[in-house]
Amino acid sequence: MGKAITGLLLRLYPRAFREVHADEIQEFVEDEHARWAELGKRPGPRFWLRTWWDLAAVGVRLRLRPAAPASYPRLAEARAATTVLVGRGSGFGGREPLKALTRDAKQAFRALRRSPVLTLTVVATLGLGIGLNTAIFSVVHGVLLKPLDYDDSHELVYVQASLSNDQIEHASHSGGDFRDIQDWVPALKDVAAVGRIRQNLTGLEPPRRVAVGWASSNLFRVLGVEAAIGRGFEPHDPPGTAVLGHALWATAFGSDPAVIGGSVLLDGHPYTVVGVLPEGFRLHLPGLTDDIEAWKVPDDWWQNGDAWGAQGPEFALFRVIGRLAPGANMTEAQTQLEALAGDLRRRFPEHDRAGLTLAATRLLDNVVQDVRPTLLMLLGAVALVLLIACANVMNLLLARTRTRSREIALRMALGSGRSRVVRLLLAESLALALLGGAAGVALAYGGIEVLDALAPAGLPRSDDVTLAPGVLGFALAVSLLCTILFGLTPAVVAARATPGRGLRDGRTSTPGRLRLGGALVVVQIATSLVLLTGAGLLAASLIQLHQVEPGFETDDLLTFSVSLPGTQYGWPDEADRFFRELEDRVEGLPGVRSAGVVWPMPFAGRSWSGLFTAGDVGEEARSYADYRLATPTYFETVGARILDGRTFLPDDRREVVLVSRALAERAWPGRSALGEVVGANPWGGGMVEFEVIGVVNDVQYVDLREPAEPAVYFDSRGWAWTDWEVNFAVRTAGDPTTLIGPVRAELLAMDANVPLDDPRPMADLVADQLATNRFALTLIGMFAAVAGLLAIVGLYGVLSYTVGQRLREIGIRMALGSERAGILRLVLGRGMRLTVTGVALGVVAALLMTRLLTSYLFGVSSTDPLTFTVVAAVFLSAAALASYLPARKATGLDPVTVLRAE
Amino acid sequence: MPSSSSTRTPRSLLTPAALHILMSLAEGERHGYGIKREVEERTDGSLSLGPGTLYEAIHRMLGSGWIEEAEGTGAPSRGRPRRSYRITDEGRRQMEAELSRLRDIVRYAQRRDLMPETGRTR
Repeated sequence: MGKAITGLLLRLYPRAFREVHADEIQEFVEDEHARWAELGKRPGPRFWLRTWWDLAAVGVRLRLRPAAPASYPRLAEARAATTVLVGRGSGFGGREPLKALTRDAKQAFRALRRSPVLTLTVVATLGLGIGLNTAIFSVVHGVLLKPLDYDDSHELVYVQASLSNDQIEHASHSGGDFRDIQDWVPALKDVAAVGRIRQNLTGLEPPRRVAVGWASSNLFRVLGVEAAIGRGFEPHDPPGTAVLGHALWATAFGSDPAVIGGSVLLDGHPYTVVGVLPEGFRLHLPGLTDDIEAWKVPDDWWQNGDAWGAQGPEFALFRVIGRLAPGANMTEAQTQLEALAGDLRRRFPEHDRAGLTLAATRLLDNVVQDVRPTLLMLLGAVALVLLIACANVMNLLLARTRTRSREIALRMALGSGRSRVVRLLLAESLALALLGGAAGVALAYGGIEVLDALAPAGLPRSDDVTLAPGVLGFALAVSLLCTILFGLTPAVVAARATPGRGLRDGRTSTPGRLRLGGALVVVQIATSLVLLTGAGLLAASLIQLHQVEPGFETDDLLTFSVSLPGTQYGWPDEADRFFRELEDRVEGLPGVRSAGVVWPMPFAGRSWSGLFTAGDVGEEARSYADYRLATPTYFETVGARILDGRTFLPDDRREVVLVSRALAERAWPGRSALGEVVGANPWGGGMVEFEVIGVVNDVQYVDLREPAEPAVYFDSRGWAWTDWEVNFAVRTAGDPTTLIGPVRAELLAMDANVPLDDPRPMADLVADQLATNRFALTLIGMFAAVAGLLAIVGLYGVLSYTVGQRLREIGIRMALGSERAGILRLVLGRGMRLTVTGVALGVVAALLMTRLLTSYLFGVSSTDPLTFTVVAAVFLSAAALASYLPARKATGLDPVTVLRAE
Repeated sequence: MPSSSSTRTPRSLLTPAALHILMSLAEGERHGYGIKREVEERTDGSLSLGPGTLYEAIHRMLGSGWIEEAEGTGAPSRGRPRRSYRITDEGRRQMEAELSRLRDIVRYAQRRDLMPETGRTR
């Protein structure tokens, strides 16, 4: 191994050298190795580090100076220079490499202290680049990479049921299917089922509505989670056994350990608390929000009816997770699940019709699959920012290397080898990168807070986003990568300098080096243009989304839900009366214009749909419509217009409906829908005929991006209104949040044990719709702004530098009678040439890359000409300004002064 | 940046490694590793030549004719003859020139009272 690496390093050496000395060097290394062993020093990593460092350093030096003479020149001249002392550490092998490194580091920091402005600029630029990258990576790490916080979480398998014919990706399992998975998939040693419902937690001041997980008793065992206090579930826990989440225990029960053994009331039923889960425990499951606060085993009605054995879609209430059996792998689990799914499709026609499939997927993969593309896109975007930052720094260092050419030439004249110079400059770059990395980590620390505030509510595992050791390692790795990106080229350029020339001129400005600076600026401009175009497209989409008419007035509208326990309220009459009274009481509050009830509420994340027939529609193919329940005042309250006909009246019979315009136009194009008949089955079972009494304009319900579906509104009276979240909409005269208190007071006055659930302004619900778009836009926009700014600053820097280097030429031109306009054109022209090249490349790159954004765009194509034009134009204007400033400085020069100075 | 108002530009000087190799060979023929051991002992371990540094200097000095391969073989190592080197007259001249240059520097420093009493300068 050691010999092979030594041989590899020898490949660095010129052929002529290698042919003569390669064998000797191998022997040398063997001898030294043997001697270390004799001396009792273990010739371990330290030995090899020293040896290889020396071989590599000399090899690189020989490579960098291929034209160097293979011999020493005569020393006659040198002898005369006895007053010149050879610079410290003129060779490579003089000291131990570690000492050499420390010395380099010291020298590097001294050099940085000598030019504080440059150092600060570079550290700030890098800090910004590394900080943004670290912050975004902390999200990627916490959400996508870090294992879930369960024991051996890589063994956890989510059994994904999909209904391919119904286009449902994550379907629930019935109890019977769950039993079959337990029995017929030996690759999973332990399988648990869990569902989520919401219930009223009463007996508290005020009562609250909580998300409750109902789970098979082995759930916590499968996850490997132990109770913090008390115990988890046990196999024969009777119905009515509950475990509390830590947060609920702390907020609702004041962290009182005496709650164990006591009971809590959920929807009026007593549950015995047997334990409290550890702090921070969350259940992450695809399609289930991770907000479950209390846990229970399935209730009486479920267990006694042997619903565990029931196998119809109406019993499909569970998500299923399992743990791989020892020695089993995902492929086996997958094969066994596929076989089981085939069997289930054969046994149950409903499964066959829906196209049931079962798949074994890693739990983590499934939890984060929806956010993965967004996060990876952001990471890609922020990497571009870093690239631009590095290009800026590289340009600064190149300029500095040139102004330091005298110092470097002197060092080399004094006997510093080229490799020594390279090493010194690299050490400076490394020091800069590490300082920048430290600044970046500080920035990321603050950035995480900002990200947390910006992140859409649906971002899973947002608790896990921290500056973990892995994230810090990432920052360090990025800093090292930066050193290579921006440090290597200036170092090599410096070492290529010829000492004589550097000393004579004091300044060198070979066109080749200016070209390198120009090329970097072009790359920066192109890269930032890609980001700016992406940001532009996202902004255009958000504007378009804001212009979507949801079909009702979203401002000054308060929404909330109320659920009545079926144990205390009879239905339909008692519950019906309760809700009608609540509607009246709320309408009577000062500041309330009207109130109405609907289910489901627009944008509340619920939907309800079913078959319909109307006119010729739905006779042959199955046609689906959204079903909605509403009280007569609902339409007026939310501001949905009744285009034709009327709303419900108290003495209407039950079989009347309003339909949406989309449905009416599809079923009865060009004529009135009033009096027509719609078939629907809102109660399950067979289709029932309803008479159309009104047509309502289309209302967006689930997704602003999707066109409104055909909809049927049923009269809400006489429905099963208990154990059900009934949604209220309240039209207010001013800020809807001021009504939350009074509304809650009215509700508690009617029944002190019924909580006011999730009171929120409708505008918030709509804003949630746009949260992901806004998140992506805010971040990409911020990255693009930073990138654009850096690119413009880079352009300005390169032009200023060019002007500085060409002072003499400009002075001569002016002395020879060049017009100021000519000088202006000279500098401006160079700036604009670089910009136009960069913009042209950027547009091409953006055309290729913006298609990655397609899923975030709405109402604009990924190649939207308007956005491309505007972004390019704005950028060109900014670049023109950045070029004009140095150009004006050039025209303001006094030729006499310039030439005299030279 | 060091000021350089009165600096004349010298050509390349002998690296310390090259000087030490010449000094080592001035005492007799040696192979590469032998040179390294001798230098290390002579300098009390403060100068430990790595293989790259050593052979780069050897390669250059061979090219300059300051050292040459010894005709005979050196002490065999693991059954193979080893290449040994010896100093040439030109090499000896170069070494002496360098040493006298260093001596001049030291004398100059002593006259100006720049030398520390003992120990290293840094």
